[in-house]
Amino acid sequence: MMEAWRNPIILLFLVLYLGMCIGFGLWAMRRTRSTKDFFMAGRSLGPIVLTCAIFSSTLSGFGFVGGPGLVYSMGMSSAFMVIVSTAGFTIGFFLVSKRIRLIAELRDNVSLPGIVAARYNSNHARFLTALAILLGVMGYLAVQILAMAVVMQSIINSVGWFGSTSLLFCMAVSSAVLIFYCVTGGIIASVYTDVIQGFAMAVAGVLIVFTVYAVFDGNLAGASRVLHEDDPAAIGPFGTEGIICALSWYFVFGLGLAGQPHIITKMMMTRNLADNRYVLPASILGYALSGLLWIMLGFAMRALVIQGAHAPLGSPDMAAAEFLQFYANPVLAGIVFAALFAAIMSTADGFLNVGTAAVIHDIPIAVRGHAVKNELFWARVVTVLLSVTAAGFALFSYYVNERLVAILGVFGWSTFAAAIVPVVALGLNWKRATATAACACIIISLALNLSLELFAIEIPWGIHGGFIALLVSMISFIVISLLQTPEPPAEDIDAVMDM
Amino acid sequence: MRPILVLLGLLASLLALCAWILYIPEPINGHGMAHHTVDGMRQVGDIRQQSDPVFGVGYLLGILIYLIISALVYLGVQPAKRDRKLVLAHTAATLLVLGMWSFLMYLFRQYLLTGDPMIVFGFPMPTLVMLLGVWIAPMSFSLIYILGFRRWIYTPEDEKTFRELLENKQR
Repeated sequence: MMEAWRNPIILLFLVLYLGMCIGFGLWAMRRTRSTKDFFMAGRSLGPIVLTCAIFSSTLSGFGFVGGPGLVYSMGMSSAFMVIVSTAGFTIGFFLVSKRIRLIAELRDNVSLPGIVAARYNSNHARFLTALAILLGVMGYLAVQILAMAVVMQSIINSVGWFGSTSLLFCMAVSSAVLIFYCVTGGIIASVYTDVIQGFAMAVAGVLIVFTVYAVFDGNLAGASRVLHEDDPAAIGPFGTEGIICALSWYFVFGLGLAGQPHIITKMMMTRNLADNRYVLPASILGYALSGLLWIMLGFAMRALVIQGAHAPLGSPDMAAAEFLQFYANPVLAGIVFAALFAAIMSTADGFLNVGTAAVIHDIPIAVRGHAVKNELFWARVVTVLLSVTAAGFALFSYYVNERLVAILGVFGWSTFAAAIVPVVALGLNWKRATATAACACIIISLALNLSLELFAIEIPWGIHGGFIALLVSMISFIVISLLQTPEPPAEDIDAVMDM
Repeated sequence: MRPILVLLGLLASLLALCAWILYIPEPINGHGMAHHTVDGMRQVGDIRQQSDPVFGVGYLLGILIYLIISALVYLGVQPAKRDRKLVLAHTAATLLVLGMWSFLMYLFRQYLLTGDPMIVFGFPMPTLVMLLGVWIAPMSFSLIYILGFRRWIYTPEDEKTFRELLENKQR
């Protein structure tokens, strides 16, 4: 009975989630009275909300769609992007979380470039950080908006009640909801939807393990043997891409986490810094449970296809959707699809937030020396403009130039990692770091990442380009700082760095 | 030696190791190739052909990455708070992650040599160690943060100093 209603049940979960987003937007609008509320949630988040906001932001639509697709395609290689989360979160908390929060309160900062400006006493560093964020955000945002539209289109069309629904229509509806709750509720709406997303993902991650177990009659070993007989490397610890590639991902995704603005900005929002000792382990646990979706869905689909129980997928990115469609309980499938939508929307919201702060707050301060008047109003206007521009990018990429969004999307994580990790994660812990080094390393990382993507440079042994960019930018940052005359930080920042 | 110089040394060594890796001739399946029957899937085929040329440098690469992680964690503790207990805890955590990495590589070597998947809890043993051991081992650094928060990260004195700083600023 329930099976016959599988697709309508999934659609129902999606509609409920979108309705909830609108509700959160309206609720959060009443709590958003200033730019500090809009960008920083008033720095009032408790440990549960902060935990969900941090680990949910880390796992975007890529984790749900691309992750299982990578395991389906390459075996265990991409598991290194997941298992690095323990080290990644830990580095982020050790290097960034305390000082970013203290400086934010001390200088009343509402954005990451503001922290950089305070640390280096440099508007050039603020401008370049804002620029790097803006460039990275546009690509990421376009990817998220496109993913949202594609997922919605596939769900609506699978129900079949409305004939064939166009991608444009789905993009318009999903973007409208995204814009509505971002504009009305700012980051407050975002972090509270993160809570729903976080719990849904963690529960779904655990349930998926049982589902996979049931699909193979409790015999995961049998599935592993199928994969081993087909290709021992695929089910080996490094997958088909090998040791070097897997480790380069481990480095970029682990260290890079401390440079993702939509994640570390959340560390500025905690009400009580002492909560961090609970937020760290809870974030690691939440991400680990959610990461099970990434690994188990791809593992199961690869085994099913190889043993001939399921037809080969049209695209690896269909791995999660096909498994949920054919093997998961309809309610679980509904929860996972809603969580998937939530993951995409909350990540998009996080990017809109940091992108808007860069445009409305940091670039004007860096260029004109002061912020725009009526910042909250303009923040809402720019949020709409950024969304529409990113949607335009997404459509252009989908219909005209397929590579554009992919280039910008991949460019995003690596750019943030290479540009921001040295400047923020090292700079907040090393007084000898200089503004010139910060500016130089942002420029070097932008140039390196852009060149690698634009010219589609493939590095032997599958080494990720972002690995080289991050390595070079960290070394440049330290060497340039050491070669220069020390520039002591401002007195208050110096005091924070002594804590 | 100052931690930042240690970090610089490790990063430079990592860059040098990368240069070395780039000089190693890559076989056709060096980072996988298209699956022989299923479109959209990748495979390796002869796993030893892929892994043997880079097994040693791969092991070193992992060691360097873990040492960098360890150095970054150490850098994240304010110099005046780096007492003997921290050094001990930090050293133990570093040895644990390096030990886990070495154990994984040892099992992977056996996997390459024997071809026996040794399936435990549904996965080949080296894969299980990667998923459970290598995933969990860096929690030892997290434990330093969690259990030593008031001693090494944000002490009651820090809290008092910050409150005073804030009050002075607001005056």
